[in-house]
Amino acid sequence: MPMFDEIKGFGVTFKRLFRKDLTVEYPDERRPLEERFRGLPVLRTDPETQEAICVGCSMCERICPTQCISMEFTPANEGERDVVIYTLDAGRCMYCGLCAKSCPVDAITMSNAFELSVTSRDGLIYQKSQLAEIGATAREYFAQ
Amino acid sequence: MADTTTTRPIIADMPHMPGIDEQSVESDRVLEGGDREMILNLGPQHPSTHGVLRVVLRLDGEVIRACDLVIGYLHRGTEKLGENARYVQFTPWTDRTDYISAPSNNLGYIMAVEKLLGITDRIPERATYFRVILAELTRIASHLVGIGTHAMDIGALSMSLFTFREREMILDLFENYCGARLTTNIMEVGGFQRPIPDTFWEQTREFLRVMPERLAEYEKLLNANPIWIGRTKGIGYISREDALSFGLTGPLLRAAGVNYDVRKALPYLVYDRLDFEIPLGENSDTYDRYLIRMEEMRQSLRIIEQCMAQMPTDGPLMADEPKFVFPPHDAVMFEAEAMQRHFKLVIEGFSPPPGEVYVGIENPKGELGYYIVSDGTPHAYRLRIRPPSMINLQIVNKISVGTMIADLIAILGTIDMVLGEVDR
Repeated sequence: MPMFDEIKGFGVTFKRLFRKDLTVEYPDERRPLEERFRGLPVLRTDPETQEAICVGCSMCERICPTQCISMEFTPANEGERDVVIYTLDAGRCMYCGLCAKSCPVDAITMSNAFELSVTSRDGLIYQKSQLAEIGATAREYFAQ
Repeated sequence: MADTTTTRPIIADMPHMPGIDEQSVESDRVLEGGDREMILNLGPQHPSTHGVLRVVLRLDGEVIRACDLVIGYLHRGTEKLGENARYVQFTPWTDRTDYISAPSNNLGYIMAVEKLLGITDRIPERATYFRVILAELTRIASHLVGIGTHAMDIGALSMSLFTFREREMILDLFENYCGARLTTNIMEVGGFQRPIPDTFWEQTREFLRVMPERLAEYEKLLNANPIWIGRTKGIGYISREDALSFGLTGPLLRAAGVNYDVRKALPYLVYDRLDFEIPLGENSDTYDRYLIRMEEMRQSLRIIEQCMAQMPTDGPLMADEPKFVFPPHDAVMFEAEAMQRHFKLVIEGFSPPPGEVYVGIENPKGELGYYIVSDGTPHAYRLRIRPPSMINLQIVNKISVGTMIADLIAILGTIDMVLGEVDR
């Protein structure tokens, strides 16, 4: 029946009325993030000693396609390095995860932080302490 | 008399535009009976142009006399970036060309790099199957957006809500595996470094279960809808000769009856082992292209099912090619060789032998090609992307002449272009 075909579409719409809503009332209600969610790259701290894990090898700085990571370090004892400055420009970051992939000691990881809006561009530049604060609870990038 | 160059400075700067000649810029041409032609700018901010495409139209009443496309508003120099970034670093940029189908773009680039390195045959079978699954999921996601926005532009708003609901499931799958939904950066040279979680397969099975009935739902909404038929049947006819001479690929070419699909014509990955059909059109109009996209989604579901059945359950996901492939992450901390390899790959990258390669794959929109010239350094000497959207878009100038403005919206929708890829 050609006439019936034409009104079939209304049936689809009508059925939809009685199904559960799919939309999420965002600020009040949040959809769960997947375990591997790639949010803001952050610096982890050792859960036991509460010290920063980063050894200052600058691998993340080198692989970053947008050059959004910059770091400065001073030599410390026994050939180690102290990371003095570590900044991440979230305005340039494209959340590709290459920094976390390249980190040999799992110091940098992709966190669940995605609500990053600020009122000035300077707020998008994260210093080492801020990254460590967000990263205190972040899991390892390659953790299963 | 008003100075016309100040009232329409942008058009006056483009005297070379083929459809719009200088005379028509100076003053609206007078037609028979005293009416005047009118120049109309559609876009770059118009919602139906799916991005920032500007269409300059010369109109006689509502009939299009000439049409010219102005592109480049989203140009970011992606190809040049590819010449300045190391091969590994460029993969995230490929997400941002055709941003509706990022994994497919990753795949094209990664396959070109692997061909350049000569390790195409060394990719583990498991990784190859997984690549096909991701590419086909991408095809479904892209066609869903294509059909949804196309239908929304010509009045069926609810269609876009329905298609985006299913696309969400695919984006959830990408998020499950790689952590990102849109700009995935999901493929790597050599295969995949991270294992595939079990939840990924559960969600994929759920998607395969749900999707066929949802496709039937779309068909109920649109196939016999008189408004949809009135707006699409016979609109945007492309002749077979035009389709071939304009270099069209993808659903546009197949709607014109030309049986060309890279997956069948030049099989890559494991497509030669899979059983699927290439839908062809008869009338080469907008309605046909919609039907072809629907059928392609069904075929993609079949491909994913077959891949899941044929895929080895065990085995490596990463090629054993120490010179080009990142070592397993656990080994980096504990094995000296792995750490040296890792540092070398991050700091220097790999240097493919000098030469040039072209790899074309079947993107949802058509044949996506990556052409790389290597001079033996860790950067590409020249990187060129063959964007299917851009080449498909060129036909609009020809097929829109003589149609109404409203039909142009349907034509732009059926081309299914992504401006990120057109402008790169």
